[in-house]
Amino acid sequence: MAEYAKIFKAYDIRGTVPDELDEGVAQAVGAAFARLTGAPAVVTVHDMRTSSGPLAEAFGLGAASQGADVVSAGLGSTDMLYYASGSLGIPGAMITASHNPAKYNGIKLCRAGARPVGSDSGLAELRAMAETGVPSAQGAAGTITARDLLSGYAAHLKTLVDLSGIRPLTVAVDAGNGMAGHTVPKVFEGLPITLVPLYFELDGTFPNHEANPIEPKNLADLQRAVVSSSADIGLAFDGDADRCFVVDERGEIVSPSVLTALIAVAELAREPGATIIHNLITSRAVPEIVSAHGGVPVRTRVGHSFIKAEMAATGAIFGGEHSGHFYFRDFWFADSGMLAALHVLAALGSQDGPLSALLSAYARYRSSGEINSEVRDQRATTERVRAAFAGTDGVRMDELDGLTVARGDWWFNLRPSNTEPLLRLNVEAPDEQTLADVRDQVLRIVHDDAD
Amino acid sequence: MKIDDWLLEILVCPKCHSPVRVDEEASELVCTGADCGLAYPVRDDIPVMLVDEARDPAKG
Repeated sequence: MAEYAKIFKAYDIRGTVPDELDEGVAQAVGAAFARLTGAPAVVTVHDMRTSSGPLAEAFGLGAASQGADVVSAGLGSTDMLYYASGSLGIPGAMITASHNPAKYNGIKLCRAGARPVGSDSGLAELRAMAETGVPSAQGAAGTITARDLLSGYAAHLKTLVDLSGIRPLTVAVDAGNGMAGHTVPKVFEGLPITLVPLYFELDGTFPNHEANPIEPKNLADLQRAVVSSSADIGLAFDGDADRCFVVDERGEIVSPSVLTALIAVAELAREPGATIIHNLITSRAVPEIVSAHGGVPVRTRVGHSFIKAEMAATGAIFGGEHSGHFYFRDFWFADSGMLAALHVLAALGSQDGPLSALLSAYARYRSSGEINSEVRDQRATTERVRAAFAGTDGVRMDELDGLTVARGDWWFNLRPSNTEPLLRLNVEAPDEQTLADVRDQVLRIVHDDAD
Repeated sequence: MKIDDWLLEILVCPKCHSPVRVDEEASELVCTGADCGLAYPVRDDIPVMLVDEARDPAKG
């Protein structure tokens, strides 16, 4: 009997195959999904893991047994699912475990129009139904049809970014043996791009490096390749290719906050006065730059559901997170690393200077990156930090997400992890010395376990 | 007490916003404001700048 409690997470389903997640579970989930959404059709996409094809097929069989037609789109990236769900107007499932080790797999679900499914927006009911058993449906089973959506996906993305006048670019891309190896060649077709591909062979065992570009060590190969091939830019994608990280022509890693600012400026040129969403870990440079370009910056908690909710509420044109997720209103409010990459290529290719020069205006502050500390009592430790800074001249504090303390031109945020006994610290300051001072002081308080 | 210089420079009394002075012996940061004078504790080199936790020397 499957342990549904273990595999149903806050936003998706994930577990080890086959002990926690197998075709039986996938089929039950597919059936429950079709029944709960009541949709006449669903679409399935899957990544390159060995178990993904069979799990997608089982999911489809489950949905069809409930009378839903199934559009089996085959191999694709997670943003391809959003494209499919958005353009076809039907709910869908992506079989993937992103960058997790090979023995894992998972299911990401969305409602029609790529609308999110989370524990308080359907996932809990889904789990309950799958667990107790889905009632058999009356009527005929749905039909399962295979459809290749890769061309449509690539073409659609290129309608959202103006790449018409770009100069020839040499672009190094590290797919990390993930789905970008499948999608990049198609998306780059017809563009004046000389592609330097790394690890484009689809392989869910990730033989070269973890497909998780947020870790600098996973960008080392790309950095070397950019320099040795004299590329204008390097792009790295994660396992299911929904996140994209950038390396400039010098081989230096570009912070997602800088990319958020760059894309925001491009979107504001397209739509003056638009609203741009960022989370509270993103650099202060982003709201500053957005305001300077006549846009309206809105700050949210960390987490894609908050970004998406705020985007929907404000009609924001774009949202960016420090974690490398970029959300676009015109892409059904969904996130796409590929679309973000195309924006960066358009900005780079529409002028003659190198990427580092183009981005220098957006990289204003020094960031500590996320520093995790294990603590016994998250609340008590955060309180001690708050108490220490409470009497700081000119300090501003808020508790939108954990504790944020800001003074003059530095700030820090201290946030508890939901799943582990950790506090996550992010600091930003105008120079290295201030950054070190603030960071070390906060960590000193966090690590003080004198009780 | 080992409180970083840069932090000491910016610490003020949360009640009246006057600067504080260090009292090593008592392990406290004492407000220099004329009508205030609250004394904030420093525990394990960590200042506790909360009015609730402060000692009011005037009241003994």
